[in-house]
Amino acid sequence: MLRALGASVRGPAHTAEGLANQDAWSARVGARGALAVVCDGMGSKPHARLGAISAVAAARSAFGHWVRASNGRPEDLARLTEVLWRLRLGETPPEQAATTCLLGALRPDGSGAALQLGDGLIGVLRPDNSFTVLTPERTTFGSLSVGLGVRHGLTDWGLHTVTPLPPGGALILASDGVADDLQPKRWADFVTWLVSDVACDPAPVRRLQRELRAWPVPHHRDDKTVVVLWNTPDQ
Amino acid sequence: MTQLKEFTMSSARPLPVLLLADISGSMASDGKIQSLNHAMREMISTFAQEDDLRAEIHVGVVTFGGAQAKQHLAIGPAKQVTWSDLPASGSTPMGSAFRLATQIVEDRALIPSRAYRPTVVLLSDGQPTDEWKASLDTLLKSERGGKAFRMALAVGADADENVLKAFLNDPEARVFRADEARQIRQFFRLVTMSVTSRSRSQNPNAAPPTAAAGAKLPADEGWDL
Repeated sequence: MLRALGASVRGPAHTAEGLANQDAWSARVGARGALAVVCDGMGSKPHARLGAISAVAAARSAFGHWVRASNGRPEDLARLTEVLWRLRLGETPPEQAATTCLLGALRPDGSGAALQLGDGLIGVLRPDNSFTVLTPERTTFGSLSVGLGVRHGLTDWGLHTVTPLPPGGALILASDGVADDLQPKRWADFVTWLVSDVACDPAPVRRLQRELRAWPVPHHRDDKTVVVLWNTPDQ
Repeated sequence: MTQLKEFTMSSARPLPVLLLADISGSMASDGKIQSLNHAMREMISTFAQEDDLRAEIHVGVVTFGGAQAKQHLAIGPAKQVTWSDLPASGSTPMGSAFRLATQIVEDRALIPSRAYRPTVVLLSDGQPTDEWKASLDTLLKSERGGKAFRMALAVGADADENVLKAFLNDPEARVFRADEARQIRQFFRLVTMSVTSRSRSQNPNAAPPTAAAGAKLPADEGWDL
């Protein structure tokens, strides 16, 4: 059975400036499958928050169409999301609402697609504790992100087909506020901790928010968002 | 206590500053090398004392004087730097400095991908004595070197401003001039201000205002070189 957990907290920089969280997210599990979305509005843009919220809404609408089709490819989901995002923005210029966009879309059997445009992390944890990073290695520096509203093409999307997540498998999506501060060698342990510790808390979302607010990295400033989808082993 | 600490980095995101310093023989005259050493001490001390920052400032120094460029100070946290004064002697192997700078900027063990865009500062009082154009081209076309912020200071009347302009590779960027040794210190205050303002800003990857040609510097601070 697929399950989901996610949370987002405003970073100290936006708190100090009296600005809202510029990340937006969604995690839903239903009869038609599961969708996780993480969007990080680019803080230098005036409508970044609107851009991120609109991208999450666009991804959810796109998933509704995509999951009904038996032949839906990852690029189809990316194209649908792009178009719906622009329509949702209305009169707001896309370049003023730039945002990254990370999606994990799973069908009821656990197979699906993982899509990424811009910074952040998407990875898959397998039951043998092996962790596959789907995010391409960053060749330059942090926070120089491509995204919706930033000039790009379909080839800038990271597009992956996800083979069925077996029981004990998990798909994680995280904004760069989380991803850049994680030790790459501990990614698998981080996901295991989320699934086997935080998710078992009586109030898992509040617990996760509390953990993200107590982020231990010195001088951290970014908003932080993490979503995990996992297949629970049969009880 | 949160278990998160086991999975996260123990240090802040780095904001690297790499200085390419001309320490050829001519820098020994008119108190230039003394002024440079003084300015470096002051800058590193300021970086080390800054604590209201979004990033941890890292400093590295490549010197060029003599046969080839050398890494005088390996890039690392300003708080951990113990500065040793630079001597001045020999020729001006600037091309060698560009090659070493490319190696450093492209090395992900030295400058991790979570780092903010580095600032590379070039200071020279003369003309390169080795082949420099191809080396500079490699630096500017390298994946990470081309994305670095660059600042340049021409020291004295003999400095080759065209080389420094080529290093900046931006028609809107300005080569600063120091006609007197004390102005080296002023330039380094400007570098300090530029780096710390980036580090405090919402987006440390945004271009600092001091990079622009028309940047107005507060006259009463003596910034205008």
